[in-house]
Amino acid sequence: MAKGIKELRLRVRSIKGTKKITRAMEMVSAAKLRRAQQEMNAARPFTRKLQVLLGRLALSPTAQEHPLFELREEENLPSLLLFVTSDRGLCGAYNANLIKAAERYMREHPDALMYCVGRKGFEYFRKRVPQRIIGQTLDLNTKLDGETTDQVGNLLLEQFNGRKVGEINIISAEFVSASTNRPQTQRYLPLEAKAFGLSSEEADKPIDYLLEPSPERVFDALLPTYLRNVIYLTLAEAFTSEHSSRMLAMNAATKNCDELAESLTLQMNKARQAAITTEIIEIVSGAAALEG
Amino acid sequence: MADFRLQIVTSQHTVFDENVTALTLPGEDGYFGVLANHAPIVSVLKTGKVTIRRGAREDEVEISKGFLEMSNNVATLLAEELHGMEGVSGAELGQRDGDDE
Repeated sequence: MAKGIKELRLRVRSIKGTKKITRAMEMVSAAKLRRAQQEMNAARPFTRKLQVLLGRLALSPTAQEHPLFELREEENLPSLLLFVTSDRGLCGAYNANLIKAAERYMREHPDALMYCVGRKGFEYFRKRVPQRIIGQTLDLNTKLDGETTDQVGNLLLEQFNGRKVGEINIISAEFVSASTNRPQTQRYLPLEAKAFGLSSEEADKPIDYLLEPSPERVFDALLPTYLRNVIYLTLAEAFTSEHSSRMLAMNAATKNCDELAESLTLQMNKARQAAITTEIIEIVSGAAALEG
Repeated sequence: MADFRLQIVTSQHTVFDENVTALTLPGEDGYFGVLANHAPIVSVLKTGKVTIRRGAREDEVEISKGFLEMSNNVATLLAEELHGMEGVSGAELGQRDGDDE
Protein backbone atom coordinates (compact mmCIF):
# COMPACT_ATOMS: atom_id res chain seq x y z
CA MET A 1 0.00 0.00 0.00
CA ALA A 2 2.69 2.47 0.96
CA LYS A 3 4.33 1.98 -2.41
CA GLY A 4 1.10 2.96 -4.15
CA ILE A 5 1.09 6.24 -2.28
CA LYS A 6 4.62 7.00 -3.29
CA GLU A 7 3.91 6.32 -6.94
CA LEU A 8 0.81 8.47 -6.87
CA ARG A 9 2.70 11.28 -5.24
CA LEU A 10 5.34 11.15 -7.96
CA ARG A 11 2.72 11.19 -10.67
CA VAL A 12 0.95 14.17 -9.16
CA ARG A 13 4.25 15.99 -8.97
CA SER A 14 5.07 15.26 -12.60
CA ILE A 15 1.61 16.33 -13.74
CA LYS A 16 2.01 19.60 -11.89
CA GLY A 17 5.32 20.07 -13.69
CA THR A 18 3.64 19.46 -17.03
CA LYS A 19 0.96 21.92 -16.09
CA LYS A 20 3.53 24.61 -15.48
CA ILE A 21 4.94 24.04 -18.95
CA THR A 22 1.60 24.04 -20.73
CA ARG A 23 0.54 27.13 -18.85
CA ALA A 24 3.74 28.91 -19.83
CA MET A 25 3.26 27.89 -23.46
CA GLU A 26 -0.27 29.15 -23.35
CA MET A 27 0.89 32.51 -22.14
CA VAL A 28 3.67 32.75 -24.70
CA SER A 29 1.19 31.91 -27.45
CA ALA A 30 -1.25 34.50 -26.16
CA ALA A 31 1.44 37.17 -26.35
CA LYS A 32 2.53 36.04 -29.80
CA LEU A 33 -1.07 35.89 -30.94
CA ARG A 34 -1.58 39.49 -29.96
CA ARG A 35 1.44 40.57 -31.92
CA ALA A 36 0.65 38.44 -34.95
CA GLN A 37 -2.86 39.79 -35.00
CA GLN A 38 -1.56 43.35 -34.90
CA GLU A 39 0.76 42.61 -37.79
CA MET A 40 -2.04 41.00 -39.75
CA ASN A 41 -4.43 43.91 -39.23
CA ALA A 42 -1.72 46.39 -40.09
CA ALA A 43 -1.00 44.64 -43.36
CA ARG A 44 -4.63 44.57 -44.43
CA PRO A 45 -5.20 48.17 -45.62
CA PHE A 46 -2.42 47.95 -48.20
CA THR A 47 -3.73 44.76 -49.77
CA ARG A 48 -7.29 46.06 -49.52
CA LYS A 49 -6.36 49.28 -51.35
CA LEU A 50 -4.55 47.35 -54.05
CA GLN A 51 -7.55 45.08 -54.39
CA VAL A 52 -9.98 47.97 -54.82
CA LEU A 53 -7.69 49.61 -57.33
CA LEU A 54 -7.19 46.40 -59.30
CA GLY A 55 -10.92 45.76 -59.20
CA ARG A 56 -11.45 49.09 -60.95
CA LEU A 57 -8.68 48.50 -63.44
CA ALA A 58 -9.27 44.82 -64.11
CA LEU A 59 -12.09 45.47 -66.55
CA SER A 60 -9.91 47.52 -68.88
CA PRO A 61 -8.75 45.77 -72.06
CA THR A 62 -5.06 46.01 -71.14
CA ALA A 63 -5.75 44.07 -67.98
CA GLN A 64 -7.74 41.40 -69.74
CA GLU A 65 -4.85 40.84 -72.11
CA HIS A 66 -2.28 40.67 -69.35
CA PRO A 67 -0.70 37.20 -69.05
CA LEU A 68 -1.51 37.01 -65.35
CA PHE A 69 -5.22 37.09 -66.17
CA GLU A 70 -4.91 34.39 -68.81
CA LEU A 71 -6.87 31.21 -68.31
CA ARG A 72 -4.98 28.14 -69.39
CA GLU A 73 -7.54 25.44 -68.94
CA GLU A 74 -7.17 23.89 -72.36
CA GLU A 75 -3.40 23.57 -72.15
CA ASN A 76 -3.41 20.69 -69.70
CA LEU A 77 -0.79 22.19 -67.45
CA PRO A 78 -0.55 20.88 -63.89
CA SER A 79 -1.86 22.99 -61.06
CA LEU A 80 0.35 24.14 -58.22
CA LEU A 81 -0.63 24.20 -54.60
CA LEU A 82 0.95 26.54 -52.09
CA PHE A 83 0.45 24.73 -48.82
CA VAL A 84 0.93 26.61 -45.56
CA THR A 85 1.27 24.74 -42.26
CA SER A 86 3.15 25.32 -39.03
CA ASP A 87 6.73 24.31 -38.32
CA ARG A 88 5.99 22.96 -34.87
CA GLY A 89 3.27 20.92 -33.34
CA LEU A 90 1.36 21.22 -30.07
CA CYS A 91 -1.30 23.29 -31.71
CA GLY A 92 -4.30 21.00 -31.63
CA ALA A 93 -5.91 19.96 -34.88
CA TYR A 94 -4.44 22.92 -36.76
CA ASN A 95 -2.13 20.96 -39.04
CA ALA A 96 -4.33 17.87 -39.24
CA ASN A 97 -7.18 19.93 -40.67
CA LEU A 98 -4.92 21.60 -43.20
CA ILE A 99 -3.39 18.31 -44.27
CA LYS A 100 -6.83 16.84 -44.75
CA ALA A 101 -7.75 19.74 -47.04
CA ALA A 102 -4.49 19.41 -48.97
CA GLU A 103 -4.95 15.67 -49.41
CA ARG A 104 -8.36 16.25 -50.86
CA TYR A 105 -6.90 18.83 -53.22
CA MET A 106 -4.15 16.46 -54.34
CA ARG A 107 -6.73 13.72 -54.96
CA GLU A 108 -8.89 16.04 -57.02
CA HIS A 109 -5.88 17.27 -58.99
CA PRO A 110 -3.90 14.11 -59.70
CA ASP A 111 -1.16 16.00 -61.51
CA ALA A 112 -0.89 18.81 -58.97
CA LEU A 113 2.49 19.97 -57.75
CA MET A 114 3.11 21.43 -54.35
CA TYR A 115 5.15 24.12 -52.66
CA CYS A 116 5.24 23.86 -48.88
CA VAL A 117 5.64 26.57 -46.30
CA GLY A 118 6.02 24.99 -42.87
CA ARG A 119 7.63 21.79 -41.72
CA LYS A 120 4.54 19.82 -40.75
CA GLY A 121 2.94 19.80 -44.16
CA PHE A 122 6.27 19.32 -45.89
CA GLU A 123 7.21 16.28 -43.86
CA TYR A 124 3.81 14.71 -44.27
CA PHE A 125 3.85 14.93 -48.05
CA ARG A 126 7.57 14.24 -48.43
CA LYS A 127 6.93 10.76 -47.07
CA ARG A 128 4.05 10.16 -49.44
CA VAL A 129 4.56 12.09 -52.66
CA PRO A 130 8.11 13.46 -52.69
CA GLN A 131 8.16 13.76 -56.49
CA ARG A 132 5.31 16.27 -56.41
CA ILE A 133 6.95 18.75 -54.08
CA ILE A 134 8.79 21.40 -56.06
CA GLY A 135 10.16 23.32 -53.12
CA GLN A 136 9.70 24.40 -49.55
CA THR A 137 10.29 27.20 -47.10
CA LEU A 138 10.84 25.88 -43.60
CA ASP A 139 11.48 27.23 -40.13
CA LEU A 140 9.98 30.65 -40.52
CA ASN A 141 8.70 30.01 -37.01
CA THR A 142 5.83 32.41 -37.53
CA LYS A 143 8.19 35.30 -38.23
CA LEU A 144 7.05 37.38 -41.13
CA ASP A 145 9.57 39.15 -43.21
CA GLY A 146 9.03 40.80 -46.55
CA GLU A 147 12.08 39.21 -48.09
CA THR A 148 10.98 35.63 -47.58
CA THR A 149 7.43 36.28 -48.70
CA ASP A 150 8.79 38.05 -51.80
CA GLN A 151 10.95 35.03 -52.55
CA VAL A 152 7.98 32.71 -52.35
CA GLY A 153 5.89 35.11 -54.44
CA ASN A 154 8.57 35.43 -57.10
CA LEU A 155 9.02 31.68 -57.29
CA LEU A 156 5.31 31.13 -57.83
CA LEU A 157 5.27 33.87 -60.43
CA GLU A 158 8.17 32.23 -62.27
CA GLN A 159 6.36 28.93 -62.34
CA PHE A 160 3.30 30.56 -63.77
CA ASN A 161 5.05 32.85 -66.24
CA GLY A 162 7.27 29.99 -67.39
CA ARG A 163 4.10 28.05 -68.24
CA LYS A 164 5.14 25.21 -65.97
CA VAL A 165 1.78 25.35 -64.25
CA GLY A 166 -1.66 26.40 -65.40
CA GLU A 167 -3.04 27.65 -62.13
CA ILE A 168 -1.91 28.24 -58.57
CA ASN A 169 -4.05 27.78 -55.49
CA ILE A 170 -3.30 28.31 -51.83
CA ILE A 171 -4.42 26.20 -48.90
CA SER A 172 -3.84 27.92 -45.59
CA ALA A 173 -5.60 28.67 -42.35
CA GLU A 174 -8.22 31.38 -42.39
CA PHE A 175 -8.35 33.38 -39.20
CA VAL A 176 -12.00 33.66 -38.21
CA SER A 177 -11.65 34.71 -34.60
CA ALA A 178 -9.23 34.17 -31.75
CA SER A 179 -10.93 30.86 -31.06
CA THR A 180 -11.72 29.70 -34.60
CA ASN A 181 -9.76 29.11 -37.74
CA ARG A 182 -10.35 26.81 -40.67
CA PRO A 183 -8.56 25.71 -43.81
CA GLN A 184 -9.33 27.84 -46.83
CA THR A 185 -8.52 27.34 -50.49
CA GLN A 186 -7.95 30.48 -52.51
CA ARG A 187 -7.20 30.98 -56.16
CA TYR A 188 -3.87 32.75 -56.57
CA LEU A 189 -3.20 32.72 -60.30
CA PRO A 190 -4.47 33.39 -62.90
CA LEU A 191 -6.16 36.47 -61.53
CA GLU A 192 -9.88 36.83 -61.88
CA ALA A 193 -11.40 40.25 -62.31
CA LYS A 194 -14.43 39.31 -60.26
CA ALA A 195 -12.35 38.15 -57.31
CA PHE A 196 -11.43 41.73 -56.44
CA GLY A 197 -14.93 42.29 -55.14
CA LEU A 198 -15.86 45.43 -57.03
CA SER A 199 -19.18 46.87 -55.92
CA SER A 200 -21.85 46.73 -58.61
CA GLU A 201 -22.39 50.48 -58.71
CA GLU A 202 -18.70 50.97 -59.38
CA ALA A 203 -18.77 48.34 -62.09
CA ASP A 204 -21.56 50.25 -63.81
CA LYS A 205 -19.67 53.51 -63.67
CA PRO A 206 -16.02 52.67 -64.21
CA ILE A 207 -13.53 55.41 -63.42
CA ASP A 208 -11.55 56.31 -66.50
CA TYR A 209 -8.05 56.46 -65.09
CA LEU A 210 -5.03 57.98 -66.71
CA LEU A 211 -2.41 55.25 -66.52
CA GLU A 212 1.11 56.61 -66.17
CA PRO A 213 3.62 56.01 -67.66
CA SER A 214 1.69 53.45 -69.72
CA PRO A 215 -1.10 50.95 -69.08
CA GLU A 216 1.31 48.02 -69.57
CA ARG A 217 3.80 49.49 -67.10
CA VAL A 218 1.07 50.05 -64.51
CA PHE A 219 -0.08 46.44 -64.67
CA ASP A 220 3.45 45.06 -64.78
CA ALA A 221 4.21 46.92 -61.57
CA LEU A 222 0.87 46.65 -59.82
CA LEU A 223 0.09 42.97 -60.28
CA PRO A 224 3.31 41.48 -58.88
CA THR A 225 3.12 43.87 -55.93
CA TYR A 226 -0.41 42.73 -55.28
CA LEU A 227 0.53 39.06 -55.58
CA ARG A 228 3.45 39.42 -53.18
CA ASN A 229 1.14 41.10 -50.71
CA VAL A 230 -1.40 38.33 -50.95
CA ILE A 231 1.33 35.92 -49.86
CA TYR A 232 2.34 38.23 -47.03
CA LEU A 233 -1.22 38.52 -45.80
CA THR A 234 -1.89 34.80 -46.22
CA LEU A 235 1.12 33.98 -44.07
CA ALA A 236 0.19 36.63 -41.53
CA GLU A 237 -3.22 35.06 -41.23
CA ALA A 238 -1.85 31.53 -41.03
CA PHE A 239 0.62 32.49 -38.31
CA THR A 240 -2.05 34.27 -36.32
CA SER A 241 -4.25 31.19 -36.58
CA GLU A 242 -1.39 28.96 -35.52
CA HIS A 243 -0.82 30.96 -32.35
CA SER A 244 -4.49 30.96 -31.51
CA SER A 245 -4.67 27.18 -32.07
CA ARG A 246 -1.67 26.63 -29.87
CA MET A 247 -3.03 28.87 -27.18
CA LEU A 248 -6.30 26.95 -27.11
CA ALA A 249 -4.60 23.56 -27.19
CA MET A 250 -2.35 24.55 -24.29
CA ASN A 251 -5.29 25.96 -22.38
CA ALA A 252 -7.07 22.62 -22.74
CA ALA A 253 -3.93 20.77 -21.70
CA THR A 254 -3.59 22.92 -18.60
CA LYS A 255 -7.17 22.16 -17.67
CA ASN A 256 -6.61 18.45 -18.16
CA CYS A 257 -3.59 18.60 -15.90
CA ASP A 258 -5.70 20.22 -13.22
CA GLU A 259 -8.36 17.54 -13.43
CA LEU A 260 -5.86 14.72 -13.47
CA ALA A 261 -3.91 16.10 -10.54
CA GLU A 262 -7.09 16.53 -8.56
CA SER A 263 -8.34 13.00 -9.11
CA LEU A 264 -4.92 11.53 -8.39
CA THR A 265 -4.57 13.58 -5.21
CA LEU A 266 -7.93 12.23 -4.10
CA GLN A 267 -6.79 8.67 -4.79
CA MET A 268 -3.57 9.31 -2.95
CA ASN A 269 -5.36 10.67 0.10
CA LYS A 270 -7.71 7.70 0.14
CA ALA A 271 -4.79 5.29 -0.04
CA ARG A 272 -3.02 7.09 2.78
CA GLN A 273 -6.13 7.08 4.91
CA ALA A 274 -6.55 3.38 4.22
CA ALA A 275 -2.97 2.73 5.29
CA ILE A 276 -3.45 4.67 8.54
CA THR A 277 -6.68 2.87 9.28
CA THR A 278 -5.06 -0.51 8.74
CA GLU A 279 -2.19 0.43 11.04
CA ILE A 280 -4.52 1.56 13.82
CA ILE A 281 -6.58 -1.60 13.52
CA GLU A 282 -3.41 -3.64 13.85
CA ILE A 283 -2.32 -1.78 16.97
CA VAL A 284 -5.75 -1.86 18.54
CA SER A 285 -6.26 -5.53 17.85
CA GLY A 286 -2.72 -6.25 19.10
CA ALA A 287 -3.48 -4.44 22.35
CA ALA A 288 -6.81 -6.22 22.65
CA ALA A 289 -5.07 -9.56 22.20
CA LEU A 290 -2.62 -8.78 25.04
CA GLU A 291 -5.40 -7.74 27.40
CA GLY A 292 -7.39 -10.81 26.36
CA MET B 1 -6.45 76.79 -52.67
CA ALA B 2 -8.61 73.71 -52.52
CA ASP B 3 -7.49 70.77 -50.46
CA PHE B 4 -7.79 67.08 -51.12
CA ARG B 5 -7.43 64.04 -48.96
CA LEU B 6 -4.20 62.10 -48.97
CA GLN B 7 -3.82 58.63 -47.55
CA ILE B 8 -0.42 57.03 -47.32
CA VAL B 9 -0.44 53.28 -46.86
CA THR B 10 2.63 51.07 -46.68
CA SER B 11 2.66 47.32 -46.79
CA GLN B 12 2.99 47.30 -43.01
CA HIS B 13 0.52 49.99 -41.95
CA THR B 14 -1.44 53.12 -42.70
CA VAL B 15 0.74 56.07 -41.83
CA PHE B 16 -1.03 59.19 -42.92
CA ASP B 17 -4.56 60.34 -43.59
CA GLU B 18 -5.08 64.13 -43.85
CA ASN B 19 -6.07 66.93 -46.16
CA VAL B 20 -3.27 68.38 -48.23
CA THR B 21 -2.92 71.13 -50.78
CA ALA B 22 -0.43 69.75 -53.24
CA LEU B 23 1.80 66.78 -53.91
CA THR B 24 4.96 66.30 -55.90
CA LEU B 25 5.79 62.72 -56.78
CA PRO B 26 8.57 60.77 -58.47
CA GLY B 27 6.85 59.25 -61.50
CA GLU B 28 8.73 56.79 -63.64
CA ASP B 29 8.98 59.41 -66.36
CA GLY B 30 9.95 62.18 -63.97
CA TYR B 31 8.55 64.24 -61.14
CA PHE B 32 4.99 65.46 -61.42
CA GLY B 33 2.62 67.48 -59.29
CA VAL B 34 -0.92 66.80 -58.19
CA LEU B 35 -3.46 69.39 -57.06
CA ALA B 36 -7.08 69.08 -55.99
CA ASN B 37 -9.56 67.96 -58.66
CA HIS B 38 -6.90 66.15 -60.61
CA ALA B 39 -8.29 63.74 -63.22
CA PRO B 40 -8.42 60.11 -62.06
CA ILE B 41 -4.92 58.75 -62.35
CA VAL B 42 -2.87 55.71 -61.49
CA SER B 43 0.84 56.23 -61.69
CA VAL B 44 3.80 54.00 -61.03
CA LEU B 45 6.35 55.69 -58.81
CA LYS B 46 10.05 55.08 -58.61
CA THR B 47 12.40 55.65 -55.71
CA GLY B 48 12.52 59.30 -54.85
CA LYS B 49 11.16 62.19 -52.79
CA VAL B 50 7.51 62.92 -52.24
CA THR B 51 6.72 66.50 -51.28
CA ILE B 52 3.52 67.09 -49.35
CA ARG B 53 2.25 70.64 -49.13
CA ARG B 54 -0.35 71.72 -46.60
CA GLY B 55 -0.93 75.46 -46.85
CA ALA B 56 2.48 76.97 -46.26
CA ARG B 57 3.90 73.86 -44.68
CA GLU B 58 6.00 71.50 -46.73
CA ASP B 59 7.12 67.99 -45.81
CA GLU B 60 9.35 65.62 -47.64
CA VAL B 61 9.40 61.84 -47.41
CA GLU B 62 11.33 59.28 -49.35
CA ILE B 63 9.69 56.31 -50.95
CA SER B 64 11.07 53.31 -52.73
CA LYS B 65 8.68 52.04 -55.34
CA GLY B 66 5.00 52.61 -55.05
CA PHE B 67 1.83 53.77 -56.70
CA LEU B 68 -0.33 56.83 -56.65
CA GLU B 69 -4.01 56.49 -57.20
CA MET B 70 -6.28 59.48 -57.27
CA SER B 71 -10.00 59.67 -57.92
CA ASN B 72 -12.82 61.81 -56.54
CA ASN B 73 -10.30 64.03 -54.79
CA VAL B 74 -8.88 61.25 -52.67
CA ALA B 75 -5.27 60.42 -53.33
CA THR B 76 -3.84 57.15 -52.13
CA LEU B 77 -0.12 56.70 -52.01
CA LEU B 78 0.81 53.05 -51.80
CA ALA B 79 4.45 52.69 -50.89
CA GLU B 80 6.38 49.53 -50.34
CA GLU B 81 8.84 51.39 -48.19
CA LEU B 82 8.79 54.85 -46.74
CA HIS B 83 11.40 56.92 -44.92
CA GLY B 84 11.38 60.25 -43.20
CA MET B 85 7.79 60.06 -41.99
CA GLU B 86 8.98 60.85 -38.45
CA GLY B 87 9.19 64.59 -39.14
CA VAL B 88 5.72 64.86 -40.66
CA SER B 89 2.98 66.11 -38.37
CA GLY B 90 -0.14 63.99 -38.38
CA ALA B 91 1.82 60.85 -39.22
CA GLU B 92 0.80 57.75 -37.36
CA LEU B 93 3.94 55.77 -36.98
CA GLY B 94 3.20 52.10 -36.75
CA GLN B 95 4.43 50.72 -33.49
CA ARG B 96 6.25 47.55 -34.19
CA ASP B 97 7.14 46.18 -30.79
CA GLY B 98 10.34 44.32 -30.31
CA ASP B 99 10.61 40.57 -30.01
CA ASP B 100 8.89 39.18 -26.99
CA GLU B 101 10.93 36.03 -26.71
